[in-house]
Amino acid sequence: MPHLPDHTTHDPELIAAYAAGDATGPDLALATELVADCTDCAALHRDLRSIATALPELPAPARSRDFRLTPEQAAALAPSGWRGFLAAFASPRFRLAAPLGTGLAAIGLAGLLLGTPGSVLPAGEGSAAGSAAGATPSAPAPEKAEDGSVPTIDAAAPAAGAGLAEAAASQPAAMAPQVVPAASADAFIEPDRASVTETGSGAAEGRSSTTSIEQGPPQGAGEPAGTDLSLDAREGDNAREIAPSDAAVIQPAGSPAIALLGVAALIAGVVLVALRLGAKRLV
Amino acid sequence: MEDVRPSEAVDDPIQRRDLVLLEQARDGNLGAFNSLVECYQDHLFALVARMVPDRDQAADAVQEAFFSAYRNMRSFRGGSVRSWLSRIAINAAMDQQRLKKRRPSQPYPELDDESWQPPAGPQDDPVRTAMHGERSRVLAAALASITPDQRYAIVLFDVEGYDYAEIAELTGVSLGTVKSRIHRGRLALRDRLEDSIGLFRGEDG
Repeated sequence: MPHLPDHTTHDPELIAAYAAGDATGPDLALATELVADCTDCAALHRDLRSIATALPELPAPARSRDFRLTPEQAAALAPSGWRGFLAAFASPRFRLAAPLGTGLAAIGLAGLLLGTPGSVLPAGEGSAAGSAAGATPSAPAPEKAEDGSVPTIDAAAPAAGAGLAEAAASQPAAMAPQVVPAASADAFIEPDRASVTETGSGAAEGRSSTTSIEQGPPQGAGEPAGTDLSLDAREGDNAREIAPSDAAVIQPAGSPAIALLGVAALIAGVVLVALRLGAKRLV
Repeated sequence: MEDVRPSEAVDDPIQRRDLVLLEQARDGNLGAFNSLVECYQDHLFALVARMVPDRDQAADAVQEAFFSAYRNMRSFRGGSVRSWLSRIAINAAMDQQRLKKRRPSQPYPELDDESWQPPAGPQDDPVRTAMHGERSRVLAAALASITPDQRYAIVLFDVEGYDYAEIAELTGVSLGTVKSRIHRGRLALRDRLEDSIGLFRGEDG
């Protein structure tokens, strides 16, 4: 067998890879050539294969002790208390706990967001301000006295105004800004219109009441808005015609029940995921 | 992976037995767990003792492996119980080697005993048998002297029969690194066996 000069330049790891059957492509061709043409490489290749053959024949070392567990060891190893409870969640039967908990938490978060007051929604049923506006038309119009005179505005104002003031006071401070009830702005205008539209014997009274408004002191900031709205309350239907035209108001919405359920679902989902992950870390 | 219940069809009777025992152990039957220990403690000790040349360290690692298996029975995901225990033992051996780095004692004390001979049949040549014994002794000593990473790779591949991918997963390295460790490990063994290499060349010519 020819001896290639400078065997020290031959890569022994290439020969080792070739002996293990891991050489491929150009490495395989080179290794084949080296083993064929270099005596040292051929000897190395042969030794490596002999060693690999001898390794599985190594005798099994004799066991030096008995590794069975005693009851005391088993008791010390078994998780107890909260660890025992947590370890149960590592069982494969709880393999769906983490994805289930994640889904539950997501649903809970959605419910919490939908049910929290302050979310922007179109004006709808059940809104407090809507009920306040609705209170305006629902306030009973003052009845005419036996002599046909209609109670003055001052007499009629407190009853309706008080209710509206209460409604205004009940609005949460954090609400989205409301458009000032249109009726209060129109109160200075509508009475003239209302007095014109009234017919019959009431017209004179309406005019006189309008007059009393006009002559009265200007409405100050301290006066409840309900004072102005009382005129619309006396008009009844007219007020109802006014408010809906300004229907595009931002009103608070929210359902405490949905928010509560959302919080519960979120907490349950987080707890479920935490138990499963904690159990897997424990084991 | 699904939890394999004994009620599910398992072809291998040994695997079926192991799954039944493990299920009973999970239900609190210590005797069932110890039956598993009896089945595999010889195999696990041999595996670990080849990886961790120090006998005392190897025994500690095997004990810790069975402790770990008992604690984590619920984490068994199905498949071969033998493989599951072997993985735990391999991890315990590597941990033991990392934590207690000290001069390894004789890994095969029985090989120093001239009265010890490997099992031989009546038709075996005594000279051949003696040569095998000497070859095993020098090979074991050489294996104990190479680096731990190379030793793990060679024991798992050449002795235990794991493939490259399994060794990569067990040791947490890439496939290329596993191959490199095996190749370099064998080269290192060859260097250490230079004076005794004739014991290995004899049969191959």
